[in-house]
Amino acid sequence: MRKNPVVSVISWALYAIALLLIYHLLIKPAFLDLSWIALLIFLPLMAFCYFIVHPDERRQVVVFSIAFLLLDRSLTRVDVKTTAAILIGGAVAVIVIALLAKWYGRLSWKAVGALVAVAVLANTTFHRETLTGLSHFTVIHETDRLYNGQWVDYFPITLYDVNQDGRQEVITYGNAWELPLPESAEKPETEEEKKALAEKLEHLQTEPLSLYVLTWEDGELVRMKNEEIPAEVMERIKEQMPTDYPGFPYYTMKDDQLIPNVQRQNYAEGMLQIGTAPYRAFMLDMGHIANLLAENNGSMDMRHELGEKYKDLHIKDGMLTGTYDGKPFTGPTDATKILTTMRLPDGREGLLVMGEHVGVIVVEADGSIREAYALTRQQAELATAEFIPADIDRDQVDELLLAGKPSYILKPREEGEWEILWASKENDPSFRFSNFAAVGDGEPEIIAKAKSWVSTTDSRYLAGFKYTPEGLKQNWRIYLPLINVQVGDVDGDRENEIVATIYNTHRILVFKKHGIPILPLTIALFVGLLGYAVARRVRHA
Amino acid sequence: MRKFNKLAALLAACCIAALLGGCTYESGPREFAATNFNKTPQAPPEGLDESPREWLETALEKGRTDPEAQKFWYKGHVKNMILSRSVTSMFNGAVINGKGYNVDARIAAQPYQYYRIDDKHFIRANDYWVTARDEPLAFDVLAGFEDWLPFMDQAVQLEDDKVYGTETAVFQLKMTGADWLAQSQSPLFEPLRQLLAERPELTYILDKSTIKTTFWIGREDRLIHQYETWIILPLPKAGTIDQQVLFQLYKYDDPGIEIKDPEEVEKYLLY
Repeated sequence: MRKNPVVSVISWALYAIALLLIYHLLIKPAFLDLSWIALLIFLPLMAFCYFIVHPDERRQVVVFSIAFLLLDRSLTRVDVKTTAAILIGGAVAVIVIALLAKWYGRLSWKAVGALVAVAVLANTTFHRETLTGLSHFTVIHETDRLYNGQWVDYFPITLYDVNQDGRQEVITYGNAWELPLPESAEKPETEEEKKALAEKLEHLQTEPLSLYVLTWEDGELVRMKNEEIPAEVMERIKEQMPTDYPGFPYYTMKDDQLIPNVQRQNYAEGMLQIGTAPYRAFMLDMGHIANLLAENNGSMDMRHELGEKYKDLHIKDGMLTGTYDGKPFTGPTDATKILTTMRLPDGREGLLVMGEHVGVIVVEADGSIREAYALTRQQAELATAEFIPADIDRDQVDELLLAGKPSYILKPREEGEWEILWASKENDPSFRFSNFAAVGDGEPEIIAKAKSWVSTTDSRYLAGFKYTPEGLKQNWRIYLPLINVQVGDVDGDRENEIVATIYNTHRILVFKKHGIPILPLTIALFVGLLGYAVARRVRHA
Repeated sequence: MRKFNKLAALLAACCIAALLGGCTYESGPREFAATNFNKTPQAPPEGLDESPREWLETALEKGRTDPEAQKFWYKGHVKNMILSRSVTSMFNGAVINGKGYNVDARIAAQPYQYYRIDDKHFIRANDYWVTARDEPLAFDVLAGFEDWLPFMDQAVQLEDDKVYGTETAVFQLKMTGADWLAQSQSPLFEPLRQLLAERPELTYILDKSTIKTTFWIGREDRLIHQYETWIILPLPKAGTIDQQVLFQLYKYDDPGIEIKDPEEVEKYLLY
């Protein structure tokens, strides 16, 4: 690499970029997916890389490589609480690592400059999360934190075209506008300040909480003002929101507030009357349910429209009513939740409802209802399961993706039977279906959270799969533990993006699929670098 | 060197093939996995000399009077599962009957400590100790257990089990919320009884609910070692709420149990 100064800087910079790509697209995913197997593969590979570099340049190349990856990681981990902390922390990392690289690696200043420049640019010019899914995606936007409260770990997210402009808005809950974070935590000094803080700490506090409707504007998600959304549209938006009870039964979500139903002292004392603990829990539940029913006039669930043929669905007093293809129907049900619809083998559209068990209801010609398929708790853990209809074999009949422990792909057969097309492994409690949707401009695919192939830890990453009789073939993977995944066109380009969040971060990420074969290119780059090293080694042996 | 290069090239090729080839998640067993729902509990081969009710009566009497049962460690939680969300409150600590207790608690992901000794009550939240000023509830750790006695006539005995190494006899009873409310004498249910008179639609919820309570009582010491109640209630727009209330009482009369003097807290009191 002893060339003219410009070529030298460019060469070192290109090497740093190659290192960045190889590390984030090949080495890191290999370790996340293959665990100790990756170690077995990479240890000899690293040894090969070490020895293949010409001894005269080995020290420089090794030190440059380590220093670059170290600086890149340090800058990623810099404390981001304040701008001053970022600048000071970043500057310290740059100076220390640059001087170490210069001194120990005997690198030229040109090499050190390239090292620092690429590391800084890699941490300032794009969303770092992009590197977790760069083989297929880029992160085109990440919101600020939307919730500044004390305890909720995540809120539901949905997509809905609020203003009918062809772009789907992202809808969730938040309070960052209403509850800005204080600049710094101040210690109480006076008696009044101490008293005020003590009163605040003694009791759980009510928190503001609002519906946040985020629309795509100039390349980012910005919040629409709730007061500018017409009341009837707001009602529809609320209907679209997935049911969720954050904090149940300790908090109630009501009138743009999260209101505590218990207090620290009495709840601890109540639970320490140990025999009464289930009585108190039951009373809290019943109080909460009574309030919910009172708010909804005794209604368990309702939907204005669902699927292609169902309208005005309503569960009340143990009866399910509505219209199917314009004709009214009614019948008894134990269900409390209307889930979704699915196309059945006889051509009808079934209605999935959930109570203690899950049933697929069909409407008969006389306006009565019949449970055509059932899933009981003896068959699967339904309490925390999710149900996603998906025509995975494109036969115009929907299969049911049951996200649970284990997860199943169920095909409805004649006579009310389910055929299990696929089931997650018994020793894998992590796998969970998330969606069935087209990402980018491709065909609909199964999207699921799945853990690494060999690791025993339960960390899950989002992945796209295609169903085949041999199993689920992975199309892509994003190495982030994403939750609340939604798929839709939020930027209006007629291609679907992935919208998701990470547990307890309250930031929404938007992933866009790109068509660039980054992974093969990176592999080619890696092989090319090795080939270049071998050629240099042979030529200058 | 040539051999080494060949080996390295082979490993590199394996690595690249693994990365390029993608992966297929093969199906597990294509049958529904067994769940515990409505499983008939296995009765032990040999019965007991006393009825489940007598076992609970003895446990409560010993719990209240046996000098060796007056201090113990406990661990408890209430786990609430609704759809894909799970919210848990937790309680851990130690009790010295007649003196006080401490609680390392968490309500909806918010940790705090509660410390009660004699007539003094303190809360520690966000690293500050403050005086708890709400009207205190009675200091009676076994309160509420007596209400289960009439129900114990319907209890079934399950296989013996170990709780923290202690061999226990296990008794379980199951009913609907409506039955629980109808037969219970607990004053805690009084507001619900009044509410039901005004809101008959809640009867539907109670009729469709399931309550399953299990007691683990020591074979040797005849003390309560574990106490669990599962509550399954229909929940609007959500199917059901599945709630587990579980307490474990262990290391009775452990000499290591001490409740610190209130002065230890008072000197750090914020207010």
